Amino acid sequence: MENDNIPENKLVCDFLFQPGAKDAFALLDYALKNGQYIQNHVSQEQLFVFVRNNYESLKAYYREYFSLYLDREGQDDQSYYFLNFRKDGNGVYSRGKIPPRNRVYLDGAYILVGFMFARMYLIDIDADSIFSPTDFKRRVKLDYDEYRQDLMRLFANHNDINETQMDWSKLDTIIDKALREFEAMGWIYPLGTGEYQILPSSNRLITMYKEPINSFEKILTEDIEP
Amino acid sequence: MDKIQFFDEIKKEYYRLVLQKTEGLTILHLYEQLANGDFENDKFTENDILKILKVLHPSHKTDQKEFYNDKIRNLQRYFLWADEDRESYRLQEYAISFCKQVKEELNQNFNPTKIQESFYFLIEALDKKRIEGWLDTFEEYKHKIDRQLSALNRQVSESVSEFRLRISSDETYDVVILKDIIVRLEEIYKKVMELHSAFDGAEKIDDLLATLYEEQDQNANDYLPALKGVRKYFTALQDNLLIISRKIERIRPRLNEYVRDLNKHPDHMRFRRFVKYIFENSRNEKGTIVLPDIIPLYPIRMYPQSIFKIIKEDFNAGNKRIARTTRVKLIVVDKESTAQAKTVYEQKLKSRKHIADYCAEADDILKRNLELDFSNFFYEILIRENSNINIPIKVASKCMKKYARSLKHHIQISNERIYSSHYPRISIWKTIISLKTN
Repeated sequence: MENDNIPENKLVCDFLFQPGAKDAFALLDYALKNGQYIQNHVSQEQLFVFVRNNYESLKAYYREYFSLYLDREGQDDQSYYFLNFRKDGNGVYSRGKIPPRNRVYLDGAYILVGFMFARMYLIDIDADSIFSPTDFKRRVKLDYDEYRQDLMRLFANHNDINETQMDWSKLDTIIDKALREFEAMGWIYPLGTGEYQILPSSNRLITMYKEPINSFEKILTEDIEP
Repeated sequence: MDKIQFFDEIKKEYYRLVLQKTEGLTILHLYEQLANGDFENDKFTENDILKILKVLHPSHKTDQKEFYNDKIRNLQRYFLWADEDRESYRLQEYAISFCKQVKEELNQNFNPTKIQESFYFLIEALDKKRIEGWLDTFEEYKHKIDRQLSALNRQVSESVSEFRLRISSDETYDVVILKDIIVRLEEIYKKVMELHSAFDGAEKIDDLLATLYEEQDQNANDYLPALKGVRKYFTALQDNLLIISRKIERIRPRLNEYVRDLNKHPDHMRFRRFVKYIFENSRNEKGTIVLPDIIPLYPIRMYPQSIFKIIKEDFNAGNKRIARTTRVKLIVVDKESTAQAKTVYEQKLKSRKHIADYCAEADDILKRNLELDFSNFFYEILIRENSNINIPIKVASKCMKKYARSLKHHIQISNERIYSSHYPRISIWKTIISLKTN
């Protein structure tokens, strides 16, 4: 996270007067507020260029008027922009000036799918940047024995060691829905052949949980010690 | 008993044939006690049955006695022999075979499988080439082999999935754990050996049977259908063996991954542990999945989609189709081009009439002479129409269509080219149309 402080007051509305603002800003604003991530991809070229060129100014605008934080992650070509939150004085995440009825949270089920997705395609350096939902679903079934019991318990509501096709199809449905959400968020991009391209912003799945990832083991040891 | 009868009967008799849990367990208890020799002459009393029932299903209902009574009555149809005074009971054959089956099947879970021995025995017997005796032996062994095979299947499934679980949850590569994993691998290896011997045995028997079958074929023997049945059995057996061996194959990718992971970045491993932790500690509450507390809620959309409610300004909201504004063309009357168009049109009409006339003429000639030399006719039209070749071509097209379809007419076309002195540059094939007389 970069410095949140605004260097100079005049930056706040600078972007409004830049070239391309009249074309790009409306789209950018809607995209960001729809929870979309902006990166260097052919589908978001216009928006990416605009936000990159006016980053400081836009950042100031969202912070001052919405208490939202336009963050940037990743390096150069792999960088991406998105609206983010900060914890307030009590250590709770503040949702800025978004009215409560305009807040929608990403389903826990989809986050779980996201973790499996991350493990399969993001943390492995050799992984392809293109994947197919069928392949993903198949690998979840065959390669992740260690999650199988939990998957059945959470998604198919049983604790049996045997599974049926119906059980797996429940999981398949959830995976489909999750992928649609990720697509809407700009984490993956449909290539029209049924396959998806994995975009740089999907790394957020891992960066977002940096804190819990580093701290969860301490929780475990705390549990074990008397 | 045909199919419908069978199912009708089953529906009626279901709970007396296929017992509910308490009753089933009661029978099994009785069977065990008999096997132990607890009952003299294999007979037991109603009290003995009641004792078991009360332990299995303690009932505090007011009509307690009736409750147990009901059960005992139910058992009498297929499971219990009762003498006239109901002083003593014995188990029926149906009950005994039921208990035997259950016991044998469960037993296999504990005994190491000895498929090899069974096969060996069968092969030995086959070598002696006394078919009749062998077929009997085979019947005996068939059931044994089937049981052993399903037991092997279960054992393999268990071993393989335990192995995979073990290997995927270990990241420390600790020596103790590695040793444990190796022990498991050895277990699986033993099963694989069993499997191989089964494959070999089945194959060998199949081969021996094949030669036997051929010999029998020549002797036109009675045993042919029986042998066929046996071969079918072994084919099915080999299919089942394949299923088991495929399960064992599933160790391989896991093992490979394990070895690869030796070099994995510690961050990777930490992430994997993290994901496992999240999975284990998530709950399903009324259909929603709740993640453990360390995961903060993650909002995605700040405005629900299409929140901008637009009010339509005009009241044509009901009309889905909006009339398109078209540019109205003013008709300009141009006398000259109109006159031109008129002449052209009139010519067209004239030609059409001519064509129709020629066709009628052709038909007349056919009716009169039963034959028409169409090639000549073609040139005639051409002359009459002042070398306007379109007319005869159209006539030709119409006539050919008409007469080719007609069953009463016959068209004969030869390679001979017909010319006309007036039109040396055109030639057509000699075409004769004739009208059939019968």
